[in-house]
Amino acid sequence: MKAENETKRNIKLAVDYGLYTLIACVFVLPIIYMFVSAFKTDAQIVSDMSTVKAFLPTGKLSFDNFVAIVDQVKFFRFFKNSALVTLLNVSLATILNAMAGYCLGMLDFKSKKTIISLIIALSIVPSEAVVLNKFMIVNKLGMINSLLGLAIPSVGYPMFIFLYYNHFKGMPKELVEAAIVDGETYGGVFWKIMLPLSKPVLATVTIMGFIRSWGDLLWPTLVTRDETWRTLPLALRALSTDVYIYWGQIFAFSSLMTLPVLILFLVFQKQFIASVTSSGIKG
Amino acid sequence: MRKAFTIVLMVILAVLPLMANGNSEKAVVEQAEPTSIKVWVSSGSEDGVYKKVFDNLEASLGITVVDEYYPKDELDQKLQVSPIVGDTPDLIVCDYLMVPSYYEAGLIKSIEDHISDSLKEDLIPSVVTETSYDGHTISIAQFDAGMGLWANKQMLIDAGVRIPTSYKDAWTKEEFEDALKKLKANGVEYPLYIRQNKAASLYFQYMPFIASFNGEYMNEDGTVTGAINGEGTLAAFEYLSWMVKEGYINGKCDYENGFYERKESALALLGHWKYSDHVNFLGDDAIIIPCPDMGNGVFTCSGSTVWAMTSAVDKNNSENLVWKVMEGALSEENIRIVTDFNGAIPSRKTVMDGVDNLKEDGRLYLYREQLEAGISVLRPLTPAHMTIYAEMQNAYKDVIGGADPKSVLDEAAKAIDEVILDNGWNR
Repeated sequence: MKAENETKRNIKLAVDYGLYTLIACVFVLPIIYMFVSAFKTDAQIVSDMSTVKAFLPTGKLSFDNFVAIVDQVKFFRFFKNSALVTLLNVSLATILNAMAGYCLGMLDFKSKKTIISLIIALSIVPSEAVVLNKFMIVNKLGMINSLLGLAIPSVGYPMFIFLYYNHFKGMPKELVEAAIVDGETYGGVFWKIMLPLSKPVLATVTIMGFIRSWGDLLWPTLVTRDETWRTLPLALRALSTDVYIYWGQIFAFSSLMTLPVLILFLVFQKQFIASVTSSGIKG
Repeated sequence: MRKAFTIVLMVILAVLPLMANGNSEKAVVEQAEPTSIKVWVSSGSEDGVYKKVFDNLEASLGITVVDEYYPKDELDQKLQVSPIVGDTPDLIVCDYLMVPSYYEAGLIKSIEDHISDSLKEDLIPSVVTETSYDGHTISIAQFDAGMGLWANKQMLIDAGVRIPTSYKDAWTKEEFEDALKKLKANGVEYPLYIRQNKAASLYFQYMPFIASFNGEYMNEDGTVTGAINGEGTLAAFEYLSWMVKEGYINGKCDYENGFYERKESALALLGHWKYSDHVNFLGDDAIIIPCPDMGNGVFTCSGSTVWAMTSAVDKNNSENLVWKVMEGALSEENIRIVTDFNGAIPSRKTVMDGVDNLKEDGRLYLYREQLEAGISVLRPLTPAHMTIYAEMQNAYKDVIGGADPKSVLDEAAKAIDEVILDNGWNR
């Protein structure tokens, strides 16, 4: 009986692990494909497509694609631009959206419900629908083809405000009341008490904001008007033309471009998962 | 925590003004006699040769050409908002299909007053057609596309298939089907490669088949219902679907080299731009044959990159200078710089005569013969180009994937006409 149970348990474990491995493969294999292909020649990549060899280091492997994107495509110039834009955007987004979420979640004031409803309504408006209006405003402000023009307009983001709002709403109001009784200001409560207790949401907003800004294509397409502030996604798109697709360089470029996102996720992994489980974010 | 955030915020606020370098600082200075022009080029594999052409023009005209290269979509988006920003270039070099919508939007100037009759007469007919819109010449082209079927000569011989040498002795529909059957029976896994891995390109490449089935993409009134889903075009799409079902085309192909490297195909519906790959891999076995006559004649298709003067020349007072640049681009030397690189057909008859491959026994003579015979069809010159392009890309993809051609084309026609009618682009 015991042996039978043991066998059943082992079979169940094997099935579970098999399933998990399969799911992991769906997520991991494209990344392996990308990194492996970055070292192959264009001809080898095309030749390996649709076969299992695409995931294996076949043919002549070299750093030629990386050398080409650094020397010819000037990867690091675009990397610097993307890094500055993302740093500015994410820094402001984490703070300003948190401030908005704190006000809505912790404080009571007139029209609060209307504002929350408007923010939720805004989150269903696709950014493409307002891109031209936003562009005209940025142009009027003289921020076209500048770092500010690239980073500022997408700082306020309804979903982030809603995340913070949800987080602060769930926190005990007594914390604020006690601090106010002790002579602290609302601003002081935010900086000294609320923000330090919001690390999981901060991590989530940082990661999501980073991905959003790092991979944005449409806005930089419009706002950059020459080479000065061109970002990584624009440079990556240029590697695929109507006539020729530079596969090796695309994979090498994508590999280098993905690394910061992977590193960021690994650094904030614990907080991100904590926030996901508490807020129910998906995808 | 508070301290850290305060520092970050202060640093950001302190550097914000330093980082603003928007166009408000760029005062527009009108030049009486400009010595410099700005050019935006739709980037591609020819970027290097365009730089060479601009270097030549700079040296011969004593001017500065500020050339910037953007992918097609990016160029289109940037150009559309350029009047708002005020940075429209003087000249654009892009796909001829993009120009009509810019012309309709007032972004492009007609060059009718500049181009001489003798120059016009020296241009091949297909180039005259692609550079004209609304009764005006609105651009110039250095070359035109050559289109037909690339074929692996040895495979055709091995399968006992006749090899046509002129558009006048192209295969009939029956002969074409017989050739596919014989090639398949002779071990050629998928006899025909049509670049199905990049369905967007079929909007162009499949046109000779559509025309030969008596189909078309657009009605004379500028709408598409009845054309895109009309009898002829539908027959061409059903034929495409049939070729995939019969296994003559690999519907699941996601690679470029089915014809020249994997050699799983003996025929490739591709144009001049694959010259290097095909000749390098197949040597003398890489030959060009005409597209088959599916019942209504033999056709090829054409269209190329054009140079168009923008209306910014009025503000910049650079109209004459820009025309000199355009005229210079049509010199034999500058045309040959481009066509020797990409294997395309020079737009001027006098330049064509000097190209060995285009002489009567040359490897690419068929391209010249077809273009001079005027059997070339163009994609519709319409402001709705990008809409049609996007819809047809999906239509080709779906039909190759097994969808019903009629419902796919009906849906595409409906979607395209909605945009055309909404914008008043019908005539």
